[in-house]
Amino acid sequence: MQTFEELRPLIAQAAADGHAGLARGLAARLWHSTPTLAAAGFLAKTLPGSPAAATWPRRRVFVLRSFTVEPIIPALVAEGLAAGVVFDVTVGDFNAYSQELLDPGSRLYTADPDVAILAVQTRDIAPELWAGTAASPAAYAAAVDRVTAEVTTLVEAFRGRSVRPLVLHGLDLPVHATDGIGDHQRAAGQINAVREINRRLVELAAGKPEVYVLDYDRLVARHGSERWYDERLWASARLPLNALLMPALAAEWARFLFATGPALAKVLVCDLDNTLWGGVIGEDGLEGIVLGDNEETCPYLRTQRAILNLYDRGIVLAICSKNNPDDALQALERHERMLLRPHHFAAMRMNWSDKPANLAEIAAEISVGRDALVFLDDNPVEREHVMQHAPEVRVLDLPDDVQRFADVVRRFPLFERLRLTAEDRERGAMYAQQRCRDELQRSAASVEDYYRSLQMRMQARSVVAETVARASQLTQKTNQFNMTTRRYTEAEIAAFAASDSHRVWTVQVADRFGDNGIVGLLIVEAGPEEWRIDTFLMSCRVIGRTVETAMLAWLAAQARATGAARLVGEFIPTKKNAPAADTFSGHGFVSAGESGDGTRWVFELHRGTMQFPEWIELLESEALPA
Amino acid sequence: MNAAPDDLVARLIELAADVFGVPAAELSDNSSSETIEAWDSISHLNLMLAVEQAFGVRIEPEQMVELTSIARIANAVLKLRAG
Repeated sequence: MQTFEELRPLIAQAAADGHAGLARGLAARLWHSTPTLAAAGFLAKTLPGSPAAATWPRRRVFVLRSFTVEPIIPALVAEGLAAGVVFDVTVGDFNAYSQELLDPGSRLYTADPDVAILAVQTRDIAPELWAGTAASPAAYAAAVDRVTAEVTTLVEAFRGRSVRPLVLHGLDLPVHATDGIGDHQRAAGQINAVREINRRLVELAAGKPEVYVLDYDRLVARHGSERWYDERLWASARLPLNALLMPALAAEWARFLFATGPALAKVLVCDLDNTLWGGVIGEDGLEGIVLGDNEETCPYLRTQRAILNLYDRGIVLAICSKNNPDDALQALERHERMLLRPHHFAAMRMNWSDKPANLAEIAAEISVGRDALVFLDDNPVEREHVMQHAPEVRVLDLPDDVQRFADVVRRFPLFERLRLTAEDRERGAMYAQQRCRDELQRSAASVEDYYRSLQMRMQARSVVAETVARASQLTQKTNQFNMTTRRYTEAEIAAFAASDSHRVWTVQVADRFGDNGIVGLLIVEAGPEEWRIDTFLMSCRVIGRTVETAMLAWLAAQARATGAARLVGEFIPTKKNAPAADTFSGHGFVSAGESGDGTRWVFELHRGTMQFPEWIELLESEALPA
Repeated sequence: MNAAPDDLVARLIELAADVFGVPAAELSDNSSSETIEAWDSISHLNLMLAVEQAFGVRIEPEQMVELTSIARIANAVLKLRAG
């Protein structure tokens, strides 16, 4: 293992050279092996302004707090840098969270951060519950009501003034209950009072767009409440926790910060030999590889289970392995204990080529940027090679101990998802359907034949409560077929939908192989004369099937029906949306010059019609037939 | 007061430079909260915790408030490690 002093010059060099892959990988190695204040300070001063981090995503964070958090902030910044993300953190005034949330002119609202954290703890917000000084069941109940009402007021104030996500600390249980070991069995006791507040906070969050509860008590429990608190630092500096555990709180905050906002990693690319099973399939054969009896005793099965859980969360899986494809497929298809099967993987590269080249191909095949890939490989030489030569790809720093692989996979913070939409749950199956479509396309005589044989059905619906999350998610995640790449939170989508000026439609597509779910979004400022297309995007899942033509033709028909004269589109070029660049010109829109960062396009509705593709059936009903 | 060994001072300077987010060249054993702009009450707490972590010592709160120069910290670390 490399020490801080060995890594220091390497990181400084990678930072100065602008080598993003090495800088991120080495920062992760340093931070995960030496999570000290000094290491955090070093990373925070070396990386954020360096050429290596010039293109890293940035998140502006505002921490509202009831206690001292300043020593935790360097750890938070380091946690971001280890994942290739720059957190720009502002800390609210000490114990001033109420004023800052309630006052519309406060620093919180003028800073308008990407996400806000409200870090409170039981001893500050409910001292009578922490100390157990509430003397009667009625006093406990009163404390529960008071705290819930207080937090509700604050959350509602924030939601009324900001569309940004809010991460709210749940409350921590007292280490020792005043009534001793029986306390938690008394309905009106100290322990259940705190639990009741936590239950109500979750309920409160569920009823608001993008308010999330950080289960602070479970975080404390994971590390042990006996170790968590530090009364010496609390008494002298109002820092409640042991300095050794500050990185644990920082890591938990970071998980939420990564998960609110555009998805930063979407695909896990797995090696096979000695990663998903023990041994080498090409040498040891089907009987010889290690895949033990059950998950309790076999670390490889545990790793596979962790990966399968990610698959169920909507993380796309791929294989990149140096192997003969026949050997590797035989293991995946026929080994009786294998949890991961070929249908779980959206792309496979089992060959003897260079892994960075394979990774580039995998990204292209799945239609994601290379920066959406995360690489899992037991071989440190391969990991180093990928860090060097595929600098956009994140590399999981696996330990030598195979027992810990599953943990590393489960802990990886960029695969956290706060909301799981129906599309997330089905994503794996959709990629399997996609492989069937690809085969059909290869066998079709012409592209029109292919479109016809797909038997596509499309439906556009005004956004409703159940689809707001998916609509927001599409704006956050869609990079390629996206005209304006405007990212909207759920609250912003809901505000558009509720406004008189805007309309929001989700577009769902199904075909003979299955339902693609909601894959398109239109946000339009619908004036009497002019319909201005604020957002027009389509998931890469349906690119190349004329769905964009269907969406535009449908929109033109809607606009014409209300008596509007023209559609106005906007194209704002980014590094990733070249596939959408010719869409407006290809559908009869006329260039109307520059506008801001992009170009404007106009379609005069009285001049022509836009043909709806004959091979797509337009459904008017509310539900897509299965 | 005995002078602390140079290597200890050098380690402290590097540590303080990381915590304060400044180049190590800007610090010396004479540096103190009076001379270094980034050395405020918040970064002082960070420095004290960093010293505890780096040297495996425990600094009591009453002592923390006094350790406002590199030289003083170096001497305190020497004594705490000896004790």
